[in-house]
Amino acid sequence: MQYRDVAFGWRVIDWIIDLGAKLRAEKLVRIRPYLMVAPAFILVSLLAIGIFYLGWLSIHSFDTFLFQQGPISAEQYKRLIEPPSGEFYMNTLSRTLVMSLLVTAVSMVLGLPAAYFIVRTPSRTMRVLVLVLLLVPFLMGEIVRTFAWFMILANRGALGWILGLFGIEDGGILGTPQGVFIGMLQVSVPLVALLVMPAVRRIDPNLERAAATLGASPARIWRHILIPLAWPGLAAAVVVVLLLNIAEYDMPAILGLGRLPFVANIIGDIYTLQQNLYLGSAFSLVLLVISSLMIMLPFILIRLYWIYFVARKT
Amino acid sequence: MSNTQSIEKDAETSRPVVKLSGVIKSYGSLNAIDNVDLEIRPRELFTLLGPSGSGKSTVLRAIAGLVSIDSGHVHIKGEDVLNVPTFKRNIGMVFQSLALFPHMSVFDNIAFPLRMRRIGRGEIVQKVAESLDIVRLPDIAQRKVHELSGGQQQRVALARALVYNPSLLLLDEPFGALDKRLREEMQLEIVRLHREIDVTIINVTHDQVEAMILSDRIGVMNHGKIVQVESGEDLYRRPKTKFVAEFLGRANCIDGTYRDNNGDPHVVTSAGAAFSVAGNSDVSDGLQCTAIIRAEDIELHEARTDDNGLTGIAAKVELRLFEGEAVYYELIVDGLKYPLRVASKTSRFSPGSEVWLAWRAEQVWLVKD
Repeated sequence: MQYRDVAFGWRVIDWIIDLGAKLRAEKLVRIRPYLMVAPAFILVSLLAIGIFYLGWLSIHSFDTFLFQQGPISAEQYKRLIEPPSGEFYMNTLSRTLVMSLLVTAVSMVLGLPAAYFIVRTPSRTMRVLVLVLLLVPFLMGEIVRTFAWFMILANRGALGWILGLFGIEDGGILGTPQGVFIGMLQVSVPLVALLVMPAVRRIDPNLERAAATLGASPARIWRHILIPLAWPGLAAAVVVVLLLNIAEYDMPAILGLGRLPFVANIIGDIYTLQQNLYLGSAFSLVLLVISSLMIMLPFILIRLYWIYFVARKT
Repeated sequence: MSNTQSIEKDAETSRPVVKLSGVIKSYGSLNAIDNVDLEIRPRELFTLLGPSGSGKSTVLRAIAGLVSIDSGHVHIKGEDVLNVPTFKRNIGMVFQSLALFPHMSVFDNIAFPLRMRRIGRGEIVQKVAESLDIVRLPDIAQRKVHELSGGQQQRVALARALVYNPSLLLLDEPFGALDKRLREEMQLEIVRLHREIDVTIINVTHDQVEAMILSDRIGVMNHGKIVQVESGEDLYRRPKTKFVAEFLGRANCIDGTYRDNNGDPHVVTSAGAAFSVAGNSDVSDGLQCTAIIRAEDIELHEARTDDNGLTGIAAKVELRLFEGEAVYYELIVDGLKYPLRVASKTSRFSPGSEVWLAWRAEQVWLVKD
């Protein structure tokens, strides 16, 4: 039997195997790991190039009359900090940070018990019910969800109507910090619960029972057993939720009625309304640096925890 | 520690440390504990023995307050603890998984109950050292839990449950996962601790040998009910039910009819074979009963013996296994559904041979059906 009698399909497969054998030559084997990380590397490099470009733009002055780039200067950063415009930008920045931290803190307080309940409830029905309740609003799309809250929080919306039944008029909280806060919380709590759940699931329930027999009240079981053991999951949740909240755009725009803009809203305005790439780049970089520092904070805290509570000098 | 700890002497020593009355706990339609009444005496080493799923662990957890009971009462030292949460019950408990805190050192694990009681620093250091001495593990306080061997972890868990001098120590099958040698070592350790420390111990196990070695009294459980509470030997020699007889050791249960025969009592099997038994006031003439004969009480003979003290039954050897300390036989008897089991010294009967099984009439224990 001649090789050419072999069915065409098998000849193709044999050819691919031959090709593969050639590609698997010594040298190629050595560089294969690098080939595999190449796409990720290229993506990250592109992002880095973008950030460098932002930095390059941010250190130039901008002539708003001629609408063209000026010489290298710290003008954009001065405008972010110094009066007369600086006050507005810094207020926006601090509003963003304070609100994000507050929302993150409250969503941790609410999300952790929710995760614990989902993991530990003996009833399958309750577990599925709570999971669905957490997930459905979380998955239904940002704009739909935000406008749903709009309907609830508006002056003549559901909240105002219910408050009206108790004789409180003008109950809408659209355009107030409370309104934005509630909207952001509703996204953050499910996220915290989902991120913390795997960490809670890894904790042996007998540890809690043992702690109880040893004299620990429920609050102290949380303090000494659950939170320390779930710590990695908690740190991850803090990082993710904090980042999402710092970059929040549509909650302040829609539920805040634009009266309480966050940094992201202002950067958008600078780019689209003022058409000032240079100032926008500077503000973007400031936000990037501050949020990076805030991400590192929980890791520093973990480090300190290990140094003071776990590692012990022998 | 026995000389330093303050021993609380109960004025009425007869008052039970733990008293369960009418305790019921059900999961869905299944009763995990079904109307359990139990009294544990001071300084007793009590074992709850039963197959898995018999509710013995649930009883322990009800005492510890880790499961809420549906009805009934649990009294600890005379106090109804229905509304006392676990952390205020002041009991020590060792879990099967040990439940040592993985994020703490050995010292911090043992110091945990002391810290929960807001005990001062100096006393914590002293008490942890004392309790590590008691379980004979000095010099490991700074180690991490995962660096210890299985046996060391057992001892640390014991030290942690004893460091605050609880009057009651609950053991939830802590030796179940150990290999045989380590298990025996830990059982002896428990006996030693019980002798040295003023503590009442309730142990849960499915291992009948462990139960008989350790316990002052054993409560046998089945299907959520306590079947019989007695010392190990009484349970073994005088079981109240067929279940208890079969659960402890190797018992042969021969179903038959009790015949009084004017002072010469016999049990007659359905196949007509009869053997004499000692008189029993529980069973009256013509009643269905089960005769229980221990495997080690039966002798094997070639033919029926003339010894008047011996009674017996004819059988055929089905299986012979050499076990070391004894030779194990399974024998077929006409009219019996199950083969009889005999632990004999002799190995001279080969499978297929006809033999005569002989035992003393007073070694037969009768149970009403």
